[in-house]
Formats: sequence, C-alpha cells, structure tokens
Amino acid sequence: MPGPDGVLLTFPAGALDANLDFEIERASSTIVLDALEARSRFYRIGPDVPLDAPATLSIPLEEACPACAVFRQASGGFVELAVVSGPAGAVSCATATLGLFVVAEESP
Amino acid sequence: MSASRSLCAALLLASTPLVTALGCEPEPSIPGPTVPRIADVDSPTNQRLVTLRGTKESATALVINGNEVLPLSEAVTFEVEVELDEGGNVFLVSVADARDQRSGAATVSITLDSTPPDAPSLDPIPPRTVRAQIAVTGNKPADAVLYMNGDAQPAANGAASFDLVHALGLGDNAVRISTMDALANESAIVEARVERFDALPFSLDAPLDGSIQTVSTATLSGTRGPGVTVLVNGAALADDVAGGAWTTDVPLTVGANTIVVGAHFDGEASEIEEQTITVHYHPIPDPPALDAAPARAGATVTITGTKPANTAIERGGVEVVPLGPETTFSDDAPLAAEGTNTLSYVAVSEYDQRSSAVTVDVIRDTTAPSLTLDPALAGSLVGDLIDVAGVASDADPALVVEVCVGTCALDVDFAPVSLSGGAFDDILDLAARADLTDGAYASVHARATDSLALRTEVSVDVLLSRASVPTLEAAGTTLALASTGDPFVLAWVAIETSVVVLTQDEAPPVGGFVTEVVSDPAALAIGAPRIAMSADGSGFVAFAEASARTSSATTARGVLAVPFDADGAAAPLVVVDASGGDAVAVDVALLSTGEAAVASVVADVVRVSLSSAGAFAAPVAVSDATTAGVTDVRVVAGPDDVLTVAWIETSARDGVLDDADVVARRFTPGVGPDATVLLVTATGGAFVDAGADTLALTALPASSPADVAVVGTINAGEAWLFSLGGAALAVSDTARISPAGDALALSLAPDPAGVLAAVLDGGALLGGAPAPGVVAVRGDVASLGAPLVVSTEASSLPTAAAGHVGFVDSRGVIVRALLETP
Repeated sequence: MPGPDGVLLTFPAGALDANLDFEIERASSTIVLDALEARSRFYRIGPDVPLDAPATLSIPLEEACPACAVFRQASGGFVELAVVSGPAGAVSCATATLGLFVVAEESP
Repeated sequence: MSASRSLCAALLLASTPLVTALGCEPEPSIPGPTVPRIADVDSPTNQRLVTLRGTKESATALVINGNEVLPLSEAVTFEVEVELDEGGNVFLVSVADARDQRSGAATVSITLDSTPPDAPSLDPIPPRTVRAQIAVTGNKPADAVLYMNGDAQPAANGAASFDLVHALGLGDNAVRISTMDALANESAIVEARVERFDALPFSLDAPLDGSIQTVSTATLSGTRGPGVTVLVNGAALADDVAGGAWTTDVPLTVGANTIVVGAHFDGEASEIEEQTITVHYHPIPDPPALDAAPARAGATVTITGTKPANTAIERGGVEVVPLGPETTFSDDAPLAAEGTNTLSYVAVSEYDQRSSAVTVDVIRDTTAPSLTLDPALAGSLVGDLIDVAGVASDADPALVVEVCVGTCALDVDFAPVSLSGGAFDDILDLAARADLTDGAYASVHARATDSLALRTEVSVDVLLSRASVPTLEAAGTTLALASTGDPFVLAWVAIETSVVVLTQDEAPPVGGFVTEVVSDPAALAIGAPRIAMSADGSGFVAFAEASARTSSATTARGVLAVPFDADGAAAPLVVVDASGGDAVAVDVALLSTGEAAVASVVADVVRVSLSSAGAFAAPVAVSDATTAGVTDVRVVAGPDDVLTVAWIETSARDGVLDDADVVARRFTPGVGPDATVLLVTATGGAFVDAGADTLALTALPASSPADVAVVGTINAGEAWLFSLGGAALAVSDTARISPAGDALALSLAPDPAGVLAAVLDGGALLGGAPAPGVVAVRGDVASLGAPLVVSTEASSLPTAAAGHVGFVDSRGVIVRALLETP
C-alpha cells in the first residue's frame, strides 16, 4: 500500500489473517534519535499489529544514502532493520511489526 | 434502468470480471462515450503525485486536460498518476473512443498544499541545568499543531504560544519542536539542547568558613563547570565558558565579614546555589613608634610612643598597656640588669594579632661614678692657685667632674674640669674668692656626676695661705723648724735668695700660717738656715748668705741672723760673721737669756758667736788644730746654757783615715770651750761620711741620767744616735735608710725623758716601694721604740723642734708631725 511521500508497504500473501485498514502517516520529525542521523521523515504505520509474515517497507530518499537503513522504534529505542531489496531510490526493509519508522544512519 | 442494468453499469464502472459473467453487454452505440467516473481523491493534499482512479467505457482512451494519458483500451477502469502544482489543480478527465469522440469531462479539483507552517519560535533554554524539568515556551502559528520530541502537544492547539514542561534526564537532552498543519506539513525543527546535572558543578574551596586572616582582602577561589556563573555578594564574576578554577578578591572590613557566594548555570539565575561563609579580618597592627628614649636610665626607664588605636602594648611578651583606643602610651619599664637592656615592644590588636617588634636599647646605670682626689692634696698648704687633680670613671661617657672650694652650697659654685683618660688636673684660682679665709682650712670638693645624676662627692681639707706663701719648690728649699710646743710652730724656709718665716698660730685644722719674708733683696744664695726658739716663741734664725754685706766677694758666704719676737715679727738682719769667709754650715741655739749662740763653719774652723743685746760678738773657735774637713755643725744649749757644739770632720782623729767622725766640744758662754774635743763616734767606727751625711744634735734635760746631749748621724744606710760619752744606738737598720740624701732630725719628745728621732727614709719600711717618707722613733738614749711612719710623702730635709719634726713635702708644702706619747 502506498503512503505519503512515496512510502510503500507491501504485504506478502498470508501476512494477515483478516482484512485490516492500515494507515501510513507522517510523524513529526521532532522525534529524538539516539546516535542516529535521520535521513527521512518519520512515518507511523498503524495499527501496530503483528504480522504473520514480514511486510516490506520502502521509504524513498531524496539523496542516496548507502549507509542508511530503516529503523523502527522499539521499547529501548530505535532498532535497525535489515535492508532488503526494493524500489530504486528507496531504502527497504522487512518488518513483521508496524509502528514508527525512519531511514537513518549512525551519527558520525 | 432495470436492476440488472444498473448492476451491469456498476460493474462496468468497476471493470471487474463479473461484468462478462453477468452478461452485461455494452449499450448499443451511441454518439460519444460517457463521462468517466473518478473516484474521490484527497484534496487538499500535500502529495505532489496523486493517483486518479475511475471507470470509463471500454475502448476508450483517457484524456486529462486534453491530453491523452491512457491509450485506447478496452479497460473500463483506469489509474493514472498526476502531478500537482502547489495550489489548486483542476483536472478535466474525459475519454475518447476509437472515433475520437470524446466524452464529457469529469472535473477533479485537487489542491496541493505542501507548504509547512511557520516554525515555532522557542524561547531561550539554558544549555545546562540541574532541574529535572524545564519550561519550553515560545510562539507558534495558532492553527498548527506543536510537536515536541515527536509528540503532539495538544495543550498548545489553537494558541499562538505555548508553555510546556519538559522533563530532563541526566546528561544531554534535546528539545526539538516543530509545528505541523492538518496535512502533516511540518515546519522546520527548532532544537535546543540542555544538559542536566544532578548537582551544580561548583565549589568554593577557599577561604574556609570562619577563617581568620590578616590582610584586608579575601581571595576566594574554587572551581566551576562550563557555563556556571559565580556571584560573590551578588556580583557576578566574569564568565568562564570553559569552566575551571575561579578566583576573586573581596575587600574586608575589620571584624567578621559575611560573604555570600552563589552559583548557577548561565540563564538559570533562579536556580542559584548559595554558600555563606564568614571571614574574619584581624589585621596585624602597625608596630608602635617609640619616642626617643634616654640612652641611660636607672632601675626603670619611661618609654613613650604612639600606637595604633584599639591595641594593647606588650613589652617582652607581657602586656604593659591594656587594650584601648588611645594612640599614645607610656611604660615604666624596669631595667633588669646593669648595662644594656633591650626592650622590645609590640602592639596587640583586639584580635590578638601582634605587630612586628620594635626595640630600644637602654643602659641601666645605677652605679655612681668613682672619684678620688690626689691624696697629696689633703692637708696641704695652698695658695690662691690650687692644683686639683684626681681620677674619675664611670660607664657613662657623659661624666662630668666639677670642683669647688669652700662652702659650695650651690651647683653654680662648682666649676667643671676637663677629663682626659679619666684623669683631671686643673688649677683653681681663688684670687677672687673673698669668702675664703686666709690661713684657715678650706674644703676642696669634687663631684663626679653622670648623665643620670648619679653623683659621687669627695672632699679634702687644705690649708689656705693665700696672700704671700711663696711657691715652695723642693729643689733649693731648706727647712728649719722650731716650736714653742703644740700647737705653735715657726718654720723658716730658705729659697735660694730669700728666707721666709711661716708662723702657724693655731693647730690644724683651724690654724693657718702667717708668712713673712725676712731676708732682704740684697740676699743672695741663701744657705741652709737653722732656727732656735724659746718657749715664748721668740728666737733667732741664722743662715749663710753670699752677698756683699757678708763678704767682699759675693761668692763668699757670711753668717747672718734674724731675731724674731713671740709673734713671729722679725727684727732687722744681724750680720754674725761678715769676715768669716765661706761659711758652709750654720746652726743657732738659744740661751736661757734669750740671746743666741750661732755656730758656723768657716774655712774648716768651727766657731761660735754669741749675741748680746741683738749684736753678735766676735766668733770663738771651738774646733782644735786637729779639726779638718768640717761639713756640718750643730749647736745646742743644755743646762746652765752650756753649749754642746758637734760637727763632722774628716781629720782622722780616731786614727782611721777613710771615714768621718763626729766630734763635739762643750762651750760655756763667758768661759769658752772645754779643754778637750770629744770624739763622739769613737766607739762607732765608720759611722760618718763627711759631706754626704747629716748631723743632728739635741740637748737632754738636766734630769737626764745619760748625758747632756745626743748626737745623731746618718751613715751607710743607718741612722745612729750617740750620747756624749755613751754607746752608739741604732735608730734604724740598714734597710730603712737610703745611702744618700737621707736626713735625720732630733728633738726632745713631749716626754722630757725621751728623744725624738725622725729619719727621712727611702727604704722598705714604708711598704716596700722605695718611695721616701718620714719615719720616727722615740725613746731614751738607751731604748728607742718601734719606728712610726710619720709621712709617706717625699720630703726634703727634715728638721726638728722640741716634740716635733717637720719637713717640706714633694709639692713644697710644709708638713709637721707631733709624735704623741705611745
């Protein structure tokens, strides 16, 4: 499903056992990252329900960032998600958990 | 429209496979396709690319704003992405069939609003704080939602300002805020960072609370972290961005000073941490200033000076002036030890602070000067010029010696004398002193006074003979002495060219001398005078004189005599023997008639001249033909006026050629000499040296069992007495008599039975030193007493009168002695 700013969330088959309406929305960029440098806007994808199979989230970037990854907010802070292939110009990841995402790289 | 058609139409719009399954057939051809149907799109939107979705007739191409965006196809649904321009966008969506017949257009209006709202303004936030939460305030667009650290702040919704509270964790905190509109357009982020400390990084290390210091400035120091403002008594120190050590000086007032030191993070003035310390300023007082102190003092000295107000004064660690506001002080300081005493003073403040010490050296001097007068001055006869000599000493160099003669009741009577090496020797001139009685004793006072008025006074009595006492010089002075008995004394002094009679009318210390020159200006080369005096004080003086009246040649000595009465008044000179040639010795004796018998030696002839009514008869020789080498002669009148004449001759009458002898011959006035010459020293052997020896002779009273006369000689260091016809008797031993220059005098002692013998003694009897003095013995001709020291003065020829010996001391002062009965 497309989101704002070209964000794309792709559910694999069987990711959900029921129809749900998901929403992808911009979140405020005032979120504070610890030791990370945000390279995209923050996006909140909800509802935050567990997926039976990881969905692929692609967040397009205005500038290439080879060191970037998608980070998801967890209880102890933002965790890095493994990068998967996706659309050109975007950083993609697979995630079985929805929530708050951002593309970032480690602060120098 | 039937229900199935309606369904078909819906399916066609949905372009689903059900269309075929339901057998929906296209409507029979009609002119132009129908208007496509467009699904609703969000507008306004902030997405520049928007997908238009809808349905259309099959076999139509999709045309938007006149541009074919999808080619002719059988598809009945479409989905096409359009790009929006900021602001309003109108899309006319139509379809065209194969015949290019176009449908009517469906109008889709979409507004692109990607403009973010104005960023919020954030009021300054202190970069460092100890607070657990801070206020985040600022302004924002009223219609925008404020976000802070990712969270919407609904409390600020609808307001143009915000006032939030933000909790801080220890360490670095970011405060990030933005505004977001309804389309999720987000403003730029405003970020502030705040470091939260659990405690203010600040310390006040010095001075310690309650500390005491002696300088008027307290130097405060400590440490502070970056961004910490330090305030001392409300005044902020200069910023130190990097932090570190801080220091500042605070002026102090005397006493307790309260200093409030505060600190806060920059911009956190309300969160000030304060420490209050008390620093006591107890200044060290200035040392006292001492006034000039006396260099010398007695047992105590008063030290004065100035001191700081509100101080005490300590001397040697002991408070001597209590704490007080006075600025002057006075201390009566005891001086512990004779000599230099160092007094040390400090000022002590009310806070027990001590100044540096100031010292002053004061010499304690409680010892009076020592002072002695020349012992020779005591009892001496002086004229108007008194030689006052002595020694004085004192530790005080400012010693002053003053002398005065007489009453000396006032200080002004004293005159200073000059000191040289502790000795003084000044001549006092009494010529103007009308208050001093001639002939009386007067006191010579001397006093030595140091700068502390410590004084030693000594005085001696001198006998004043102011008017005409000649200057008696030892050299050339010959003394003859006679006495009528204590206290009257007549003394005749021959001084080369004159003869002076001194009459002492009273005994010392009351009495004095009356002087009279009895020789005349024609007198030349006066020879040794002799005197004879009666009990009433009258008598004769006889002497030799070299003058024209006594000889045709002035170098030859004639014999003269001067009679004098009981008051000492002299009659005119009488020439006894003008033709006698060169008289070498003269002596005179009084007869009971008051007349005189003068013995003289002229040309080795011993002669006797007798007076009668003031005139002398022609001399009669008493020596015989054997007589030769006569050097001295003595004559004395014994009972019945029988004269004994004794002389020294070198005639070898005793058969010994090398010595002199004393011989004597009796002479009866009116009869003449006895028949024989007596060899007095016949049993004594070599007892007499002619020339060097002197001869003394005294008559014994008629009651004497021994003889009528005693002869004394000095010889070979011994004094001898001989009684005529008797044995020799040693007056002294050889140790007492100088070989030459000594003299012997004989007189009757007050005890009629005694003989008084006085010897000028230069020997050890006077204490070992060979200083001459007078030693006397007394007794009868058989037994003499122990020697008595009469005088330790160097003396000229002594002479004797009955009961007295007299002599001229080394200063020319006549001294007499009366030997009391032991």
